[in-house]
Amino acid sequence: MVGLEALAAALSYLALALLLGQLVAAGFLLPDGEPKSLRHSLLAGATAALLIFLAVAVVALVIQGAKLQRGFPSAELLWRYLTMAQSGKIWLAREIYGALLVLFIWNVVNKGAARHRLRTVAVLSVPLIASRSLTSHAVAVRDDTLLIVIADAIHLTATALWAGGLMALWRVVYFAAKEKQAIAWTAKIVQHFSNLALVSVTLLALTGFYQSWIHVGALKTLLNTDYGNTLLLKLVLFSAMLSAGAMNFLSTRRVLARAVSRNENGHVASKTALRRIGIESFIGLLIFCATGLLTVLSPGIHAVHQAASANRSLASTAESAAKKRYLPAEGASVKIIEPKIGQVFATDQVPLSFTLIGAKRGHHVHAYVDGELMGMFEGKAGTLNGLKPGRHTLELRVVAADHQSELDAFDRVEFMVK
Amino acid sequence: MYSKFLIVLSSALLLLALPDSHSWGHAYPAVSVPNNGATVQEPPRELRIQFTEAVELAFSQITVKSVNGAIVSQGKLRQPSSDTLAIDLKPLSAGNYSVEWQVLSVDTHVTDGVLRFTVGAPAN
Repeated sequence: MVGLEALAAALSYLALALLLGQLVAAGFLLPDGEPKSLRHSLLAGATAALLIFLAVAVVALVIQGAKLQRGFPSAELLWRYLTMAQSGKIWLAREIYGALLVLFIWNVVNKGAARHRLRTVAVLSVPLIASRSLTSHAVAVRDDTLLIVIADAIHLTATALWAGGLMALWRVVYFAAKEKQAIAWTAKIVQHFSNLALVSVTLLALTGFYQSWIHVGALKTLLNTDYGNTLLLKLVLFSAMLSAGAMNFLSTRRVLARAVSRNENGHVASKTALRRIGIESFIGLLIFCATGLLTVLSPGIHAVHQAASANRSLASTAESAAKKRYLPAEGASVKIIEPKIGQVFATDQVPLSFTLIGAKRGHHVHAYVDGELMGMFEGKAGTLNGLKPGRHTLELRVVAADHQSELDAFDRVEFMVK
Repeated sequence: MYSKFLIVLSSALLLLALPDSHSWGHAYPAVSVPNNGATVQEPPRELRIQFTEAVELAFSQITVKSVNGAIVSQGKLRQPSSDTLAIDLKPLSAGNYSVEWQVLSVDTHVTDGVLRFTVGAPAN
């Protein structure tokens, strides 16, 4: 099931990259005076990629249903998922948007595939790619969710532009070699793509490192978890693709420019460009496979929760409390800002805000109300729910990332619920 | 050239299709009340689990069972906050209880597991 899910995710990423890459190539990269047949061919390729995306999404929905039902899903369950779950609603919206985009492309083809219309379709395809972030690991991060979702959306779009654009470029260079287009024409489109690739790579490197930090958290997690190891593999592939890209940027462009300046027929230069672009594209394909796997793996930063959930001691709390030893704070501290001392609340929901200095070991806080563990908070604020009327003592205690090691760092206030 | 390409591509896809041997899910209990493994003196009136991620109420369930398998949770599952689920409990007598949970997290992953707690004899 996991393999199927990863495969569907990889195919979905690939299809969307091919969609955007071919639309951008047709609308933005092709130099003036390109053969109409090439433009139409790229548009047909983009439509095929979009249809594949829509079909793969249906397969992904059935897999999702199978996970929920633990067997082949019923139509009733799928309908409930699509109408009641956040991720189901997003799936439905993306599928409808994708279907409308197919109709729009069909309309553009019927009207002669003018360049400005192709550019509109290319821009309209971006939300389809970026909206994948709304059901990704990014949306499940507790703090700064919006920022992380935006970073993920930029990352996905930049990846689709680079890798999808490369695959489209390969098609264009292949077409040029086959149809014996002037080598100057090929050199020009490679030059156009290089500019786009430079921007895309910069964006995806920045957002990629930011997200890696969010989802992995520490070097140890990178080495000791499946997610971390797959991410490492992706980084190795990214480095290889970057090297191939640098070679194309520094060398292939020069090879093509030399062929233009010497007025050669460009057969050898085209062949070299095709081979190098093909290698870079192939590494891009492997990166999509790694990304598909990352999509279904649990982020490394959750490994501690997974382990804690599996290994938590069954010893009684009373016994644990008697033996409870707090680890040295080593600079960690917490300060409760709200509730204030003696503050009175009219409802059973009490807003909580605090400042946390994690220092070496501290990661989040546990909230105890009258000695009973009520929740954990990783941000700077939250809500304590279901408090009974009366006087209460709130204690926030700093905890290490393993969720079990509490530190000798706490703050305490008394408040009242009416 | 093409045959080599196909071999490498097939290997990559096969790698993805390998059967899973791990728990791959994403939302795990971070804190539960009563806590996992705890012995409480006073019978709790509700069970509450805070997960590491936001979860979908419509596709989540918690069942609390006594040691003989009788279901002691009652009423509808509630979601006091996006990452927390709570369910009411019948009056509990002293004994061991298991908490079977299954959730769908907002990033589409389904996880499940079992927590345990004990209601101890009241202190004299």
